[in-house]
Amino acid sequence: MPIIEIKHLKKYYQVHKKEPGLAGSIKSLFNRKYEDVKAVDNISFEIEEGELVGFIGPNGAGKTTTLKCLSGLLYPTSGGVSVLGFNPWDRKYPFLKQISLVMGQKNQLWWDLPAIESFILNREIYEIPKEQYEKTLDELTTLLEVKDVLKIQVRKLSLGQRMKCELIAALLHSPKVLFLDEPTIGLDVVMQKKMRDFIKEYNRRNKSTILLTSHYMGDVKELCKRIIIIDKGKILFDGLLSEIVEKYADHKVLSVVFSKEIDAKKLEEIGEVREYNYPKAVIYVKREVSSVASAELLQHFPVADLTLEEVPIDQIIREVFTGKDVA
Amino acid sequence: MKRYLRLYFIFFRNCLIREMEFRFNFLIWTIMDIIYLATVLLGTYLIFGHIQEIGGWSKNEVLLLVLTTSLIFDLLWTFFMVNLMFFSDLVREGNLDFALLKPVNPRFIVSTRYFEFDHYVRMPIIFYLIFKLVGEIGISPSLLSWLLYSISLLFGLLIVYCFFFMITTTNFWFIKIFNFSNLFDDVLDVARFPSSIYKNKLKYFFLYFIPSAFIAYFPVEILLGRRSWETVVFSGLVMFFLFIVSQKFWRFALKHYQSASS
Repeated sequence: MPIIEIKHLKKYYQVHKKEPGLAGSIKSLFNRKYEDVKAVDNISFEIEEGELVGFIGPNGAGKTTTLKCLSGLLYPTSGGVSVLGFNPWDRKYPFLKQISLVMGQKNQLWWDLPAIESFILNREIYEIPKEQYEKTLDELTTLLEVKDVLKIQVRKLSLGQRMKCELIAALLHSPKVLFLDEPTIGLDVVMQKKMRDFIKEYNRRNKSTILLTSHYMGDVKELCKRIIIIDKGKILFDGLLSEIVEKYADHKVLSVVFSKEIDAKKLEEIGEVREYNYPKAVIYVKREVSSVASAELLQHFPVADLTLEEVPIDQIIREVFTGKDVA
Repeated sequence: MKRYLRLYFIFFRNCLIREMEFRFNFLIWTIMDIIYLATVLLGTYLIFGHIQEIGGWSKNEVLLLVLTTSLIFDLLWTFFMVNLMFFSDLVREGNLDFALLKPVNPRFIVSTRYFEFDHYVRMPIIFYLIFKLVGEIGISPSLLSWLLYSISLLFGLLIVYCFFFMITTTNFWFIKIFNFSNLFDDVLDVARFPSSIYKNKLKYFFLYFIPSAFIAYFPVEILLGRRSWETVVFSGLVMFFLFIVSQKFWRFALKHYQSASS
């Protein structure tokens, strides 16, 4: 039985359009034009227990709206949602006690108090038994290395420390399902890696189901075996990350650095020249002939350096968004 | 139920801890509070320099009304008003989500999360003055009267809370609500004077539409012995009714809630 099930979910918003300027404002007082924004437009997917799924898409794709529907914050326009067997909209307490939604930019900790006070509050709200609370707190604070900042006022902590504490507050009740909305946004490279390592470890240890949204490829590459790509409210791809490379990229990328000036036109015989800025060039060659093409390049041109790689995932996904066939 | 009491206590404790951090702030507000009370009392004295009575009420009786209103004001601010004022911010910034994600009644969190402790010095002063005034008027209310007075004060407090909570709930639609504290002050201003000064139709408006009468008029009349337990029962019924209406309205509004885009 899948832990998360979405069937034909639709969420439409009504926004009113206003013409610019004073005349427009006056007009809109009398005659409001409403438009339907299709934030989520008929999506369906299933997630099994213990999966770590990446939900990616450009800004405005519908990722956050979907997460909010899954956690009961938004009422769907139509369609069915089931998480842990509950209908999230009912906001039943047994349901809420097993899930957690962490939104990158929002905080739930009390600003003027030490983090530990907010933790105590959460312990009471979620009715966590004392022993379990102590054990979980200990585990999390050790894993995230924040044991010594718990008694400092939250407003005096750095962004990284604050985010770690926010994460702890969200995980104290050991949720079975975790929704992470842009968890690494605004963090420096070191913190991003720590956060990713933590999420991976948490998923491994607790076998919790994690659905995370991001537009950082780094998050996706490191954490997710399965990704769901969404854009303009519709799902474009749902499958393994490795599949997407095979399915969408039938080309490979040849990056060359030349040691002498060459005749650019002749390069076209090797493959599709995407970039040429002497001494560097980037050529896309069909997968099957990539080794032959490399050999040819080395034979007929003064090559100083040569690299043969897959099309970067970012590029693939970007091109999936724009509906282009990659390469 | 016990759990909510525990939560309430934790909110209370957290706010207290926070307040102690700002001691200077506390001192200033306490002084300002007392000055404000003195001003209001002085204003009443001045009015009574020119007239003998208002709507059948003598100077001391009106002073009693003023003090009771101030007391309700303090209680309301201590327990509820900060929360209601922050509510529009919560809705606008999409931070109501945190309350909706927790396995707790969201109305409870929204209404009780913050306490204001600025009135701790003024409240005992008001209590003292009320006792003194009762002595000066010459009545000695029985224990029952004091009890009924307290209960009807409590009902009045909750009635005004429900009233303002419903106004706050409209924040779901009117994101930038009109200036809250002004409305509040106006309601209280009306409550400062005996509702008997309003004739006929106007009286009904001020008695029932804006619940100013419940704040001080009814409780003080009980204390003065002019009304009794029927008024308390009446206030209680109004309170229950308002509570149910405000709860239904709140649920209706929640259904239409759309969190701000993150």
